[in-house]
Amino acid sequence: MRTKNYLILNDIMRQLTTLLLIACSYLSQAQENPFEEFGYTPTIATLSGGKYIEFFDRDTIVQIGHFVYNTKSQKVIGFITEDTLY
Amino acid sequence: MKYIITISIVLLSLYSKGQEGSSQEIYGVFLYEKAYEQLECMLKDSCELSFKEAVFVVENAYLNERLDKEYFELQIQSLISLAEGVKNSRTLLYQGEDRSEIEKYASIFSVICDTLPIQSGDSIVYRNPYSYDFNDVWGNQNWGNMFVSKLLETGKGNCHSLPYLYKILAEELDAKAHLAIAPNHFYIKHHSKTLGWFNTELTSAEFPIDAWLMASGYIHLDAVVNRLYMEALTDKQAIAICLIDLAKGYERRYGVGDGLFLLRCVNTALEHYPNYINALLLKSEMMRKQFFAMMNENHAKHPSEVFQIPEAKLKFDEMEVLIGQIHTLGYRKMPQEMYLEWLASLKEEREKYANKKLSNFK
Repeated sequence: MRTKNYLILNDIMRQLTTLLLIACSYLSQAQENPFEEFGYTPTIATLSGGKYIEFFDRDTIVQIGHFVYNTKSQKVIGFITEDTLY
Repeated sequence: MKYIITISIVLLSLYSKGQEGSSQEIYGVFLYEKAYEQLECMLKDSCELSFKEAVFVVENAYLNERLDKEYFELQIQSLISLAEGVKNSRTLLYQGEDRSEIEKYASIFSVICDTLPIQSGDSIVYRNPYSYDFNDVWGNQNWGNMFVSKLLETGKGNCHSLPYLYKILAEELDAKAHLAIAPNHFYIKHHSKTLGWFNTELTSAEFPIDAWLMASGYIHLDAVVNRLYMEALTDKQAIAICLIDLAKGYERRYGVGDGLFLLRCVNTALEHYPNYINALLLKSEMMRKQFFAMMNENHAKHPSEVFQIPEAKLKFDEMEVLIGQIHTLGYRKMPQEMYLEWLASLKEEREKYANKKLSNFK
């Protein structure tokens, strides 16, 4: 049986999480080379010239609806309490 | 007889919940049941499928039957007359064999998006196009802001009501228009024998190419492969979308309640449109609320504290499978800020995304 504690985010925690996610998004935008860690800089085709996030799946933890989901372990690891669904 | 049974079910449901529902609320819930039956009837082929009718019953249920059917019909028919007038007053450059069909698309587009000169006696008056209402784009403050009836009344709409109106007008003109979905967004897809599939974007009055929609719209490749987004939807899928609109309106008006009405809408919608993302998200939300109710009953603060209850563990596992399925299908939550930027870009960056194959008029 799983004994791990689950996150149930309150308003303050949700705001902090949102800030963290926004910060991660900006970092992702700045790092438009997915091969950087291999020391390789290929020509990367982009339609928006970096304006929009054209790379996906850089984050292990994602939000789906009101769920916090770990894409590696494929487990729900928390819930977010807010009103907007989509 | 059917309505008597429906009223009985509604009354029984309110009674069993121990609620002292006011007569207004009872009647309101009855309207929702009636609307559900009408949409289900269309999906089961027992009634004539009409997107216009589906949109009307959904909006009328939310508005407590205050929507005037005759006036709504009159507004639509006056737009149809205008579209026919526009079609007959000009010549398209397009010369494909399906030209008469494309002319209908072009006239609907003009009615919604162009400033049109109209002869009135000896003078010419100009009819303004519908515009985008940047206020409350998700209907968070007022769900009625998503409605076609609001668009017709105020001349301002959003990416929900504008494509809906387009599809209604196409249906009335006997033209084929497919709703299509992008994250937080609806648009129209058409097929031309000469150009193939092309997109019609009412938000910006343009024809964006697929690549632009993908790059700027936060669309994962898996979502396209799995037909979550950018798919030309069938008429039945459009009615399934209306069912979820109905559920969302019910939730705004009466809350989740016992969840049975919302789940019925979701399950029927998914029968006919299994990968409808908003139905899948709503289903996950309903399951989450059911699971939280179990946690509350057992005074649990963390999910793991109710895992010894087989029913709760089963519900949690089902939720986890559904969330995994949504992720695998290619859904990725688009940040709201990104969506608003994207809306602005539709007007600012036309040169980059416009489909230049689509010609203008002589």
